[in-house]
Amino acid sequence: MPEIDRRDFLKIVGMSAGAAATVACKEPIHHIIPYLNQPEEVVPGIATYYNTTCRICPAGCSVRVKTREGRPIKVDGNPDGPLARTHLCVRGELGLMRTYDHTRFKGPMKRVDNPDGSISHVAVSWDEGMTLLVDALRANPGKAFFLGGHETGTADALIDQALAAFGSAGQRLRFEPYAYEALRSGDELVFGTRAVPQFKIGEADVLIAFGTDFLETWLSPLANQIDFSDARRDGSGYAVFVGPRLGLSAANTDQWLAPNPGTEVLVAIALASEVARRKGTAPEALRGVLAKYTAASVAERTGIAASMLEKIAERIANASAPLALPPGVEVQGTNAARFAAAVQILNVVAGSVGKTVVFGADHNLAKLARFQDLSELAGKMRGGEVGVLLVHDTNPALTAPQVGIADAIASGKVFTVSFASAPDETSKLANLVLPDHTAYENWGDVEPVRGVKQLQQPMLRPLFDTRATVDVLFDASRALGASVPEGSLRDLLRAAWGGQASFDAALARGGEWQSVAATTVGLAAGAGSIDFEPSALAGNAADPVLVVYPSHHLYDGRLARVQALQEIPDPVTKTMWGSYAELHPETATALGIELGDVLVVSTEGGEVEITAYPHTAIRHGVIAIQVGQGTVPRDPDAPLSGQGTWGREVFGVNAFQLIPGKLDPESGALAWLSTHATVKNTKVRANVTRAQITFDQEDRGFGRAITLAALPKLEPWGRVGEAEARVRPQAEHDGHHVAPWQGDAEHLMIKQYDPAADAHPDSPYRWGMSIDQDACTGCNACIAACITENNLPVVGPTNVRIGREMHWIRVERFVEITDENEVDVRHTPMLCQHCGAAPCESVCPALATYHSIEGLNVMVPNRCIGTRFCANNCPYKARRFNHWSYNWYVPEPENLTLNPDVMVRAKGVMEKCTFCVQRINGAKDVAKRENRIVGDGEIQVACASACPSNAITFGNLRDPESAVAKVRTIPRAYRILEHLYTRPAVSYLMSIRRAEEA
Amino acid sequence: MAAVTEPVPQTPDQINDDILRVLEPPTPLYVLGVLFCATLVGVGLVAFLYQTYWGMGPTGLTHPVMWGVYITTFVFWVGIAHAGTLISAILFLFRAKWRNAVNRGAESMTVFAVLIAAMFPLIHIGRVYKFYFMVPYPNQRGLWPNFKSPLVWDLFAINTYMITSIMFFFVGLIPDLAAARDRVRDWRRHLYRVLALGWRGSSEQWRHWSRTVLHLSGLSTPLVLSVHSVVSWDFATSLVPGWHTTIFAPYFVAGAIFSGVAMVITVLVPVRKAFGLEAYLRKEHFDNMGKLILLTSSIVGYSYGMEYFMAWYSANPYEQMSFWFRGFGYHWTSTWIMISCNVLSPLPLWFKWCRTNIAWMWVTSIFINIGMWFERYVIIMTGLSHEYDPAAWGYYVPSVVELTILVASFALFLTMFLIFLRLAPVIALQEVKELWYADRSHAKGHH
Repeated sequence: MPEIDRRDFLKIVGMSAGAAATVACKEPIHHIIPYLNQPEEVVPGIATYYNTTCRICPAGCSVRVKTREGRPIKVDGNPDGPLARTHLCVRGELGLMRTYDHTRFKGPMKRVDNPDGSISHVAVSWDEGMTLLVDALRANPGKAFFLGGHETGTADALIDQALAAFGSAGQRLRFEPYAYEALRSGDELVFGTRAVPQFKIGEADVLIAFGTDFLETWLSPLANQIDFSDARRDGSGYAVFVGPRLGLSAANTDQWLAPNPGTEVLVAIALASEVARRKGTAPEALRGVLAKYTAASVAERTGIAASMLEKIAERIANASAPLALPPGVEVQGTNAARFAAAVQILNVVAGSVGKTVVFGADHNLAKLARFQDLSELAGKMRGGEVGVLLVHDTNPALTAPQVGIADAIASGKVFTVSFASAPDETSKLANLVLPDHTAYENWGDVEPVRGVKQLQQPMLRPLFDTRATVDVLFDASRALGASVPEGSLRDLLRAAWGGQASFDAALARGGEWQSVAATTVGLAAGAGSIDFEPSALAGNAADPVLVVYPSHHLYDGRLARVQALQEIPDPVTKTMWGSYAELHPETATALGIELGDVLVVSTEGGEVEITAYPHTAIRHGVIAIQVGQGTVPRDPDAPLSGQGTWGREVFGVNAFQLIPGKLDPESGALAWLSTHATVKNTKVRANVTRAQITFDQEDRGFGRAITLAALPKLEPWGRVGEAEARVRPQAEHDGHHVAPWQGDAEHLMIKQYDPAADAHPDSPYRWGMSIDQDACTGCNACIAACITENNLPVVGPTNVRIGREMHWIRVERFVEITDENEVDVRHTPMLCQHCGAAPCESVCPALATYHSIEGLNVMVPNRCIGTRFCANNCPYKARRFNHWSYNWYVPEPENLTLNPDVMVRAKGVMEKCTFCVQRINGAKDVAKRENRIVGDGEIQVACASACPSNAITFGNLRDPESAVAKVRTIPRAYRILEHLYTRPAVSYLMSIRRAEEA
Repeated sequence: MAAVTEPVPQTPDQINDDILRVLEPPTPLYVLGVLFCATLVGVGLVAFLYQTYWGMGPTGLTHPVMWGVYITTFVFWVGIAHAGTLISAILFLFRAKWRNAVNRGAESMTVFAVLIAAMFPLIHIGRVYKFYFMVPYPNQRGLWPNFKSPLVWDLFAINTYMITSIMFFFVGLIPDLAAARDRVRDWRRHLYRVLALGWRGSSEQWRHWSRTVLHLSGLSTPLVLSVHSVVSWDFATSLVPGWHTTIFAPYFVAGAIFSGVAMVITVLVPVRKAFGLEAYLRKEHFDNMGKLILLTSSIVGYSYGMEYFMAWYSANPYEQMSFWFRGFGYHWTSTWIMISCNVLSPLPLWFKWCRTNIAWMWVTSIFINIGMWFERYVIIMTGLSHEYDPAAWGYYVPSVVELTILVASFALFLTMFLIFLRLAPVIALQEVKELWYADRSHAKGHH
């Protein structure tokens, strides 16, 4: 080509090189590709809902899962389910995080014993894993043992079949740390049946709980809470708590008796005695035992004045539907069965049996192992009677360190197969790990309560190379030549549910719910001759008594890997990310302990190092530690690693190991409350990670209360904004001091305002909210719901320690009175108030936050430059700042939980509660297509729909018929910091003090 | 002044020699000083880049304390920037003769301080790369900043002040730059030739020049009062207890002048020593600045007292708790540093001996600088720590990154000042000469 000279050549070369380089500079282009074959029921951008069962705890609530483009993003209660009823608890809301946990087992693993004595695991294929399992089973004929969790459905039966195929029929334990052994034995002592009846909290007008954590873990905590709030609507209901600790459940009762630890049983039987004396209707058989334990006779040992017990007995005797709740594990001592029996005797004499204690629709707990059985299993393992241990859905190395199962596994004598889907203490020692799907990837069914049969279906294709355990066991059976039914778990499940058609119908519904007829029970023969003795406490009587109690967030530790649950402040202590030794401040002073001191707490069971946390919601002379911590920390490959120390110590300690292995001889239950603990102060100061530095509201009117006596005197709303004078009857504010939020409106210059006015005149909407503080229990379900709905990041312990948690809603806890006459602990959920005259809006230089025409206080993170003036100027402190790009460091596949309707915020911008604006807009889209405005109840914000107490009402204030507009006008309504004239759109209802004035 | 034992310049040429001596080649110590300061600035720059990359995470800022060292330092430097204009403009209009020796130093300080102050809001914001969202620029989205926000007022106030003070400073420099142009023989001549804008010292030029200075003084005078008032409104218009008060504007302006004058002393004492300018920066100047310090210290002290009085008298529990916390809470040390430095340490200046003792004045001025930084720190941090919601109370501890940037801001100030010292006369040559002639004719008239 002669016409190209040197210069042209260079030009062309330069041009092409430049062009090539430009192309290389570009970001790769990601096309949005439509489905090639679009699944029939999936429309991109439109959520699909499936009913399934939450398997986070044994309660087994029916849930409805929102999925988008084939991945589940949000769990809500199934409105048709009898347990959850549209609501969900804090654990259930974050249950998906277990599935999306990136540190789960990616496939089968095999144990390797290193020369230095340590144990590690290497990945193997399923073929190799199956071969190892089958070989082990073949080498140990009839010596397989299945140690599982609470399993009540088809899978339960299928596992039994597989065990039979291995020649090890019946060699099985269903182990739960909270297994209600004492209650079952107590029922046997009193009623002659081991059934666990329904305790109808919702119908009880007087409730007395004996250390029962009915709002945390006891039986069916979500249903309990829904019922509890029903029983206490508008000032009805009355509750008394007997126990050493003012936990979440106790803080929501009206009176707190803290007898000498271990003597709670005497309180129960003395109450029964006093009630019987008043009602005079006690069965003849019980007269003898009741006469023996009068209020006066137990007063000295329990430390509770006879007059106090008599007052409570009076109340129970006069109640139409009283209910005594059997003891929870924190007061379960060496007398556990008899304690439960004493409570049931109280129920008998109070006339509750058949009314609020109903047999028939019993809790399906009959097959649960006793703790004693686990000890025996450990003995068998040591004795060589077990050749292959199959561990599924339970973690005895963490929750039962006393029995030595971990040592037996570690010794290598028993070939242990773990079916855990994520690493835990037991799988860490196992010879073989054959990971199961998580519950949201798997088929199954449960029957937590007789008549309540629920299906569980996969919400997404398994994320990792896992297999259903039932399938694995059946495959092994087939490999061993045994005959087991053909087909997979799904096929067998379908067959068990009566074939395709009825299976599909049940799947759509979520299960099958039949009412079960109540049965009557009579008194057992020996019920009248039971002796009641306090729990025996080992150790030095001068030392504090050790109280170990279940975790509201982490259950028994199985949820410790869910970081979001670690980061939600504990409902009582408001601490996050760790274990704390709780003491009464006076006990702490007597022992020379201050907040943050590292203590060495030891018992016969073991010894832990733990940070001291003095607070008043606990009895004198007691040291309380929550279980659930001290488990395998998630690997340090967590968000923001390397930008601060993710110290191992923040994960806390395993409190189970402090419980000496003593049993209640009658029930075979572990005696949790059985020892004093030696406390040594190391004088080392540790960080205390807590959300609230004070529980004193300094008389600022955040959480307000009204006595039952003054409630009728409250003036009706009349004009909006008027009448703070209504608060005045309150005894505590009768002094000379008048806080700014008190007094009459004129005196305070509180400008009257109509919150419905704070929107554009043409807008049909002004969104608002009302929160009933009396119903709010402080359970944190709203926070969990907000986290999953609005993509709130986990910021980690280092950042939380200095106060950078990103929750858009928090539950403020204010402790007013905690004594045996009255409990007044106020829970005030605090979120953006969407003020009509918002202080944040006027100070933003970039107009990143402004008032929308529908009255919302809108935050536009994209416009935000991060001056943070809005956060300073918000008196409610509702705004959260992105100090880091938290969500950018979320490892795959955890990013799949993100809600595609809500943006992910990056560093340097502010964010806050939006009133779930994505849901508002979604509902408005639907309404617009139908040419109408959004009706009341069409929009449920995430916190309101989760709230098991129905404390949150959201809606349109411009619609006078809406629930929120109505509830705002009832006399108990008030607004926080109203005197600042911020015109908040959130109003609160005062909590009601039901106790008599002392 | 009776006890004048200081040297007095004899001829205008000597004035030229004395003052323009600073333009002679630098000593190794000077070079070392500049390098040291510049290195610190570099470290600060790295800290800032680190923070920009990661977000505000590396700072100690947290809920509920969203403003900390950066805003404190911003207000501090804005305050420093006040002395220059006060001395140049207001005292010029009042014909206070003693200002002539210090005004150049003070004006240069103003310019450097306001430049540094203007950086801090940018260092402080979460997304510095989006700072222009605050600026009203036309765009097709029709988005404007929020003119209700005190931060936007701030942007305008600071920028106006920056532009005016730079103009004022530069115009004042022109005759001296010409003098320097005529004196130096090296490469700087070209620089001065450009900067002197063809100044030949004709009477017409002098006339224009003096009118310009007068007008600029008139323009600057209200700015002295307005800038720090606007800065104080950043706080006063909010509803944070401890911020929301009407006393803030005068309180802040007095505080600004207080700290500004102190900074002038802090900077000029070493300069006076190093360049042997005792004949020009005389004790009477320090005496007068001492009086200004006493006045403003009293106003500041009164404001402190009045804040506590109002907290008590208003019976407002939020204010009361906030001020109790300020004095006796977690951050009490900062508060007592503030009170000791700002109210107690200037008290000896009631005695003339102290005001005319250069060492005493210098030490006092350093105390005041420290105290005034802590004043802003205390106001910002304690106010935010204990606001309305007891459940959202918290604490703030500055991080290494923040403190590095704080130190770097001082280093940057010193770097700029040191370089300026070698580039232009630190004492206004033409004004000192003018005074000299005035003094001589005055003396002649009597004899």
